Amino acid sequence: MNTPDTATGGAVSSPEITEERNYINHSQGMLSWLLTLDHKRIGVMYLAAILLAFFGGGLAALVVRTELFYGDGDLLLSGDWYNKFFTLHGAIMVFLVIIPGIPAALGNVVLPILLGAKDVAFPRVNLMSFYFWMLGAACLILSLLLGGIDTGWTFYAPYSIYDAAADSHTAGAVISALTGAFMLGFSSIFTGLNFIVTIHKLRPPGMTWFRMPLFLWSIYATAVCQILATPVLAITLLLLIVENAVGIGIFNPNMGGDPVLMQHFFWFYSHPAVYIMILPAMGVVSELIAVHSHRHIFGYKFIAFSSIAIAIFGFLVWGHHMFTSMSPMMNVIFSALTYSVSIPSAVKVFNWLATMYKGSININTPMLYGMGFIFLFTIAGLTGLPLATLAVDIHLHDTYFVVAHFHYTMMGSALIAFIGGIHHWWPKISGRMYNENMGRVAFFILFFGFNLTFIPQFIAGSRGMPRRYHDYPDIFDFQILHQASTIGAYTMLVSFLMIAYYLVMSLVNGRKAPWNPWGGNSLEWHCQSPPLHENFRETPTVGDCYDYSGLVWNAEIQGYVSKKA
Amino acid sequence: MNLLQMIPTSPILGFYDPFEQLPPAASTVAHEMDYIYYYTFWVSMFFLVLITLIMVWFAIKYRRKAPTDPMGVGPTHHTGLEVTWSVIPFFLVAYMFWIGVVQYEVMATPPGDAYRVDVTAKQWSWDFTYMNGITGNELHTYVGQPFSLRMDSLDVLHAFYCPSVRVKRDIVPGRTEWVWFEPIVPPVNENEPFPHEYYIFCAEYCGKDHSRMRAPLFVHANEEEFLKALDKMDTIQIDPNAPWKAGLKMVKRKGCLSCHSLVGNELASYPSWLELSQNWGKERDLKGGGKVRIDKNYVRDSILNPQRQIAAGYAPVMPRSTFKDKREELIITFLEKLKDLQEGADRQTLQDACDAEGIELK
Repeated sequence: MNTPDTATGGAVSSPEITEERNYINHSQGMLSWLLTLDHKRIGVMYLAAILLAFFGGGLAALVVRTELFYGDGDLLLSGDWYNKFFTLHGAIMVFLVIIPGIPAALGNVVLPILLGAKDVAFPRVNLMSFYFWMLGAACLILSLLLGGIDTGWTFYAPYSIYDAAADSHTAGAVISALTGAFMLGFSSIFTGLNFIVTIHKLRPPGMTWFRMPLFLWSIYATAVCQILATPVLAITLLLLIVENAVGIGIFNPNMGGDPVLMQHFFWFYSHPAVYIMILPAMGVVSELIAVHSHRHIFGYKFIAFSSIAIAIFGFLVWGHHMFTSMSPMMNVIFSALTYSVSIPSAVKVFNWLATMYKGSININTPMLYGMGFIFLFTIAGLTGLPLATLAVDIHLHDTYFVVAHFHYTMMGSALIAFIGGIHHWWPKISGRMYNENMGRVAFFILFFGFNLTFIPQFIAGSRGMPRRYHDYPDIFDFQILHQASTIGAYTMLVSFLMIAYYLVMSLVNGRKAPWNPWGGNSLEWHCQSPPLHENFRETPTVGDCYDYSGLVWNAEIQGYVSKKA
Repeated sequence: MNLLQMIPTSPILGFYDPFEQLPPAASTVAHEMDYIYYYTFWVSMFFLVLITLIMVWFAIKYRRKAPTDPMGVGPTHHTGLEVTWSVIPFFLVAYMFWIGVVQYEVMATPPGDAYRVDVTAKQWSWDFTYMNGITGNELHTYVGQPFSLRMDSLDVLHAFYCPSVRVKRDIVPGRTEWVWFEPIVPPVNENEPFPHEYYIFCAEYCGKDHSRMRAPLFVHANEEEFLKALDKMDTIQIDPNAPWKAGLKMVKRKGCLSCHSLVGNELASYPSWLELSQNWGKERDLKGGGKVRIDKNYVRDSILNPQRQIAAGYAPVMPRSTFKDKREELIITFLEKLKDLQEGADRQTLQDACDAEGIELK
């Protein structure tokens, strides 16, 4: 075993003695996975389940987009079925895919390794979190079996309150979906709690706060949002469940309740939830850009503190979802607060750019996703500006402009970073290399398809196309814009099938991954691929994880190794 | 002093728009709003292009050609630079915030001399009641007169949205909401004959036919034309040979067909009128037991007091309607006659009448 070389940041790096045993072959049988307490296995199970849910949510989106190919008439669906499909798409993508995506799947696999720990602080709670996710998913499926819901994923009252009058959904389906979201909230809280305690208590000697990879800072900020905001969602959902079951009248105007109160409660969670989605993505991108530029991250502290700033400001801006239903004074206050989030977001983008300056940039698949993220996130952030501007938002509110804006945030940014992260850590997770050329081609198809889908939606929206419309009049070229958007959606389907194909093929016949295929210096690149059950043979020593000067390419193992001292 | 005058309307960031992003500006507030939109748009475009160019330039210039290339070496931080790129965006967005608020104050404050229209939103139609008592589902206005809308919802959340006049407001059941606007003639419509017609949408999701909850906004040249249009909207000419045609007009006006169907439709969630007409004089089951004969009294009661007798198999969702001059009788006449119209030689007459009213016969 090598002596750890703290000067170069290298921890235990000895690729020549890769062992046959790893976390995947550590034990055998279905139960060894289902009852595992290993953070990596839980992360892999999360990854598989989330990707399956993503497939389902994506199909729902395709159905919706196909229906919108023509403005009038029912191509596939009648009005109420259209409403059920966009609700399904929204609920799956938000609650099942994007919120848990990066923290629960990628975070679970790499967080303890990045930190230099053997596991998370509470492995049993971690497994419970996964099963709460499964329970939540089961409740959503049950809701489908009970006829499905057409309330939108936002569950706005009074439409979501069962009324004998409304024959479009039953109380059972709504209660079941609300219970599902409630369970998923707990899953999220457990993950957040676990990560906060892990980061506070399980850092090995030498791993100070400012030596942590930026991914950990962003996961930490996310976890704070998760445990502070999600209980408010739980309260809201519980009140709605009770409202549906026995009619207490808190949100029901017929009984003196206030529907806007429900919106305040809902967005007090769901706006921070946007940062639960985007903060981990920013963390992933900080890693992608630094590692594949082979150059020290620029402005470590600014990036770290901007994550915390975004997490804090993210709690203060929920009111902008109600610019068309609040008093003018509240609107002015929330407009000002909303802009506060734009500054730390801009800081991050400039820091990533500066990280590329004088780098040695390897334009491989993960780096393409990193650069794609910068472009798409810039559009996502900049199109938030007219929405934060009060006078302009009055026109744009609840139009396709908003739809396009949040898809650039949730899909163009959060999901692109998630996929980029999967590629970045794939050799570590699976121990195999995927086909690099197919990866690049799939990225460009995805990038093209994504923009083809959502840029027309910006234009339709600013011209006044309202969202959640099953039929629309063909004014201002709405139909052409929708058709472009639908073609874009199918283009993305092609790229996702490609990605699924070459990732699965890599498991079948991919080249064995070296310890450090990219030249990263954070701790996961100093353990073998796939890692041992206990991650490290001995507690690793920690240096500056963004200092790549101590690494050198070794052609024999097709990976990077520490320079011999 | 008018705060609005403090917004410098710079021609540099003016209204140049290759993408025609905003619909023609048909109200007084639209012009300033559009200016603010284009300010944010061009500031955003500048940064997007800048960031993208720098990123692509770095990616090409500092490309790693072989894995054996030396690692990149560059500055790890630069406090001055980082403070600069925090502060510059701060001032840009502070200005955006300011002009947005100033213009919003104008949009949120109706002028005292506005003409008031009472708006009732319900699943899935709009009712507009004017100060002279006339009601209809078209919004009529005229150039040079501010209009303020006093809005209520009878059921769930709705939102009044007219893209061309740039107003939107959620209508929360149990609250009374207001919007106002003053129509103008957008430059592209200068040579168009009056009235100018625009779309009104429901912008807050409200259920099955949310997307069909639309109404026309008419902008007339002057008050005279406006009043004439209101009268036209209100008058019902009864053809003594075919009184059902006036009934069809009322049906259209009251928005009955957003739920009911003129043809038989087994899957519909609402009673088909053709079926009612076919079973005229027969008995039907009521929810919770009991029977009722389908006749004028039953149909009248169902229109005026829809919650009293609910037909078995249907939900009690129909909103109440009120009529002046007992015009509900016209609808009843039409309904009774519908069977003959659909099945007899009058089929083409019905088709023509529907075409004239813009009703899809389905």
